[in-house]
Amino acid sequence: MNDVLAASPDIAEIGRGVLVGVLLLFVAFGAIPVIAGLAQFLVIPVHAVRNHYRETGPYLPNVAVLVPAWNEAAVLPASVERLMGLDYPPDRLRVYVVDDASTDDTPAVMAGLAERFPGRVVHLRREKGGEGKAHTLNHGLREVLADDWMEALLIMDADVIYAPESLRKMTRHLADPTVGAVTAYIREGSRNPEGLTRFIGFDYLAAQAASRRAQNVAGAMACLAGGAQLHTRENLLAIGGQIDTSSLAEDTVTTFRTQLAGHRVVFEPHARVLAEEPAGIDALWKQRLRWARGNVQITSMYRHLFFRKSVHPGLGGFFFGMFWFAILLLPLAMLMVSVGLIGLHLLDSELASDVFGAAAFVPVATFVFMVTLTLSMDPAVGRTVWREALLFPGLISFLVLLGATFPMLVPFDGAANTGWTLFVYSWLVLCIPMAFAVRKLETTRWGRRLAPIGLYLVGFGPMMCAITVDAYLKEYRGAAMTWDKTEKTGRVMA
Amino acid sequence: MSTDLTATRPYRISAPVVLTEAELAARGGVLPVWADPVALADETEADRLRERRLYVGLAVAIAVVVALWTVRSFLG
Repeated sequence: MNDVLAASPDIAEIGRGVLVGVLLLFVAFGAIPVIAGLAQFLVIPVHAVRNHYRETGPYLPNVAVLVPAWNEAAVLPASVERLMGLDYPPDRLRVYVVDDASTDDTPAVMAGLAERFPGRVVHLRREKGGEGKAHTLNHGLREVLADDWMEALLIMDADVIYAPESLRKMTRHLADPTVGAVTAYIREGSRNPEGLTRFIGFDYLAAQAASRRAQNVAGAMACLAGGAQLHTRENLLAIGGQIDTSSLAEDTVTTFRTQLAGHRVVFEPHARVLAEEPAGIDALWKQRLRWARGNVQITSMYRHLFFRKSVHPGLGGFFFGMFWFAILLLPLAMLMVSVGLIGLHLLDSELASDVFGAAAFVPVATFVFMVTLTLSMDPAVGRTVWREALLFPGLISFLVLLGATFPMLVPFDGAANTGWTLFVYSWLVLCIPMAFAVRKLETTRWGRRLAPIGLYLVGFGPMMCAITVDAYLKEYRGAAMTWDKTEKTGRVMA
Repeated sequence: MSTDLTATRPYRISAPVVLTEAELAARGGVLPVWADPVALADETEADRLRERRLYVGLAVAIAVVVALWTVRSFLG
């Protein structure tokens, strides 16, 4: 008995040591998304030499453009006119607008356009609508595939604007018979981007121009942009001639199916497409929640694919798996870092302060590297959105990281000031519920003025994390899969 | 990024684009890029070379991180 008592201080010390080790592991877990992001961005410059241009050819197939539309009468005339003006052989381009039982003037508008461009603009109408974009596309696909004329199919949204040379820059990749689909670089296209649309502008720059180049190099594409996906007829037939209707991310399912059918998917960074994006937080939330829930569903659908090269060398590769799960598990990583730092602070505040100080520079340097490289990829957009790029994690996080990087400028004594320290350590995860609050704030009387300030304080990145958390909750509860159409006002610049 | 498939399957080709005199005149006598295979090839080559700007972006990004580290060390 006496021996046990004598040993107990050692046991307590061992227990404390184990706990410290576990908490350090928690903090280390947070490094995974940072490493995944850095790995992805280090690969991007390789695209200068490892790209698909040497395997392209002057291929100009008959292209059917499929435009799903529901109550888009306001934007359709301009959209169709721009499509007719694409720098592409006119006799090899037809536009099929699939009208999802619109209740506005869409039928009359389309009748006028079909008369103006005889044989080149076709109006396909569904009498029963409201089932979502995938069902609308499938209606059009059945019609277009029934006609042997079509050699390639471009799926786009009614409101996007293609640069005149974009289509032929996409079709050149289809000269390579191993390619099944090509996607373009979608840019946020508001005439006067401000606040939220600038954040989206940077987000698209990072997710499209940057990330998709890395995916080109890695040989696995996560998603064909919904507003810009060009398929060969062979590919459409190989994936069953239908778009998946069982998930909220039909574009991603199409992308996975294409690659699993043995076809390559290529990103063309010089085919530029402008898209209108939500101008309000609530509208953005609904749009991104649909995407995030779709990704959660796809993770479950293709759970036997990830990290299994035997199933698919690209999609089952380590790089792609790391990239995929780094985004999905980011909220968990943030929670674990917070818990780890708070736990360490309670056990050994000096150690927590040292870990935080030592660990802070790595994510800060990674963040600065990623932002600079991203902005350099499209300097015109970069000049507009660089402030939002720096404030992507939020002003509060920005100041915290600034303080951790330059402790001599912003004194931070983690061991001494417990209240402030605990706030700093917990902000990593507190910013997620705060993002929920910012969304709620927008619906209040003063929301229109205060919500943008809240967004800059909390950050766009944490808001995306909050949406991922919301997606998990909605999927866990089995919430209805509603397809909320993003409101479009035609404010994209021509 | 070539695969075995390219060795066994021919590249896809499309019929040559032929513009009539009237169509060419309607375009002010200027041959559109899509009607000229050499111009299409030049456009692709220009885009391929444009990708080399990624090296500049990489160099700038590395320089910014080094500058950040230097300032931090200097102030420390």
